[in-house]
Amino acid sequence: MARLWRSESSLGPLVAALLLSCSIVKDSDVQSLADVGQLRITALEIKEQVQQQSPKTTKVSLLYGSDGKISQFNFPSFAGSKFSFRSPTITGSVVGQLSYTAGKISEFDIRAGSESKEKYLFEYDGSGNLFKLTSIGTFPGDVVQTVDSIIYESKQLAKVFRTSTTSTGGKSKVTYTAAYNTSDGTLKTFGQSPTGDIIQIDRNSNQGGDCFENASQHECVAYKTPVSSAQITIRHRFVGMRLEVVMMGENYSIGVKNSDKYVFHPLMVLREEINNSEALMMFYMLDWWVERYPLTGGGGGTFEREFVSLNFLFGT
Amino acid sequence: MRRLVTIIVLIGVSVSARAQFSVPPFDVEIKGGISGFPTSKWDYMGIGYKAGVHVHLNQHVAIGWTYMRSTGNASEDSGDNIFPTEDFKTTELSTGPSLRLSTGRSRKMRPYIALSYSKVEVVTDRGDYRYSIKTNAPGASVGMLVKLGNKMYINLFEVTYRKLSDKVFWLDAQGQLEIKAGLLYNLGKKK
Repeated sequence: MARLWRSESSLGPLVAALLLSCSIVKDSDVQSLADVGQLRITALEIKEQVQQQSPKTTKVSLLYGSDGKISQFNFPSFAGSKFSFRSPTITGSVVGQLSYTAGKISEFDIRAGSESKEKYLFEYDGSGNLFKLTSIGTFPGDVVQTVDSIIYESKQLAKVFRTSTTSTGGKSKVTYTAAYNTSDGTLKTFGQSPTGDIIQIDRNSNQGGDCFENASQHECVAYKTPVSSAQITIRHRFVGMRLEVVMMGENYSIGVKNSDKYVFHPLMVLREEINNSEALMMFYMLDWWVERYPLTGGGGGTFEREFVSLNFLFGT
Repeated sequence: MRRLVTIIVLIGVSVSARAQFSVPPFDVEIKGGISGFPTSKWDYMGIGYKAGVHVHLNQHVAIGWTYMRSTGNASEDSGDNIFPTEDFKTTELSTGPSLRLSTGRSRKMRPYIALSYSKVEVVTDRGDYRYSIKTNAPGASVGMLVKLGNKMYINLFEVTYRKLSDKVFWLDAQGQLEIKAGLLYNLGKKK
């Protein structure tokens, strides 16, 4: 051994052996975009940053059925949070139970024990597109049922006809009409009739490209106009080509109490299960947003930011 | 265990072979520095080391093998202050043959270029799962050696660029850049 260590020329093969034998890649790694598609959502983290307070994180666990599909979401209580369910009768923890028909989601039932608090019924056309979404529960404005008929033209989302029914049988109707950018055919706005409110969907100028159906796009922004109302921003992010974060945020003027509510919609967590869900998800997130104290004026004052983000955790 | 057995076998072969034929002159090198992916949309810079051994064919040409390993945090730049930024530990490994061309041994300053063909591996740990790729990459380096003594050189700098055959899909990057500095030591009889 002493002869070995005195021998300079013996060091070469030793070094070579060390250099040749190595790998840091494991078989269990996600090694391609196809592998990314095999990951499954293991949990949600709902992060909330409110009024200069410390951020708060709440975890939502999932259960999978024997068929490998999500069967249940376990929601903790969101009392005191900006994030809430549409029905004000939901005050504690609830579970969201999914039912499937022919492999597609047919029902999302939010239950507190044995009582159904909010129920969503999904119906599909012959092309597998969601063409009717019915929500049943006790909702603000004495609404007990909302039926959205979703119309597609040339395979694109074109209109949403909404009929809302109250507990006394009264009905009201609104229509949302989609408009697309002439330059590249991407979705631009949802205009509501008769109010004239517009849900605007913009590309993120930092990233460029299409907000939807483009694997390389990372962010997209949507907000409500006219500008004199609250500047509301929704951002969702693709990292590794799977939706990872959905964020709702707004600017508020310091000194002005702001208590917007960001309302849960099943499409926030079921985006990967439904065709055209990107556009529909952003539409419902903004459409159901409850503005309490709209920001007035176009400038001046000092602004802070509040947000709630849904972070999807993936695993193998 | 396989690596240990290989080393033991090679040591044994080396000891027994030494008496039977002479080993050509060669050098060993060790460097430290930074590496990254200049075209990536993520913010990432790895810090690591590079080791190598080159056999001298003559005083200008040497062939050998290099091994580089770097680690750093990768974070995706959201472009604004709204999205929280998270860091993910990322590791790079590059190893493969190398051909080095340099000026003569008599000079104090010896610039060189090197061509390489490496196996490149990149891993980003996302917690519950890891992204990784394993690909090949031709590369080119330029550097400067400064003579310190009869056998020792300072590798003042070496800049290496590798073109990856496959894109690092989560970083959206296909070029790897290294900047390193270190020491080189000649062994064996001079040629």
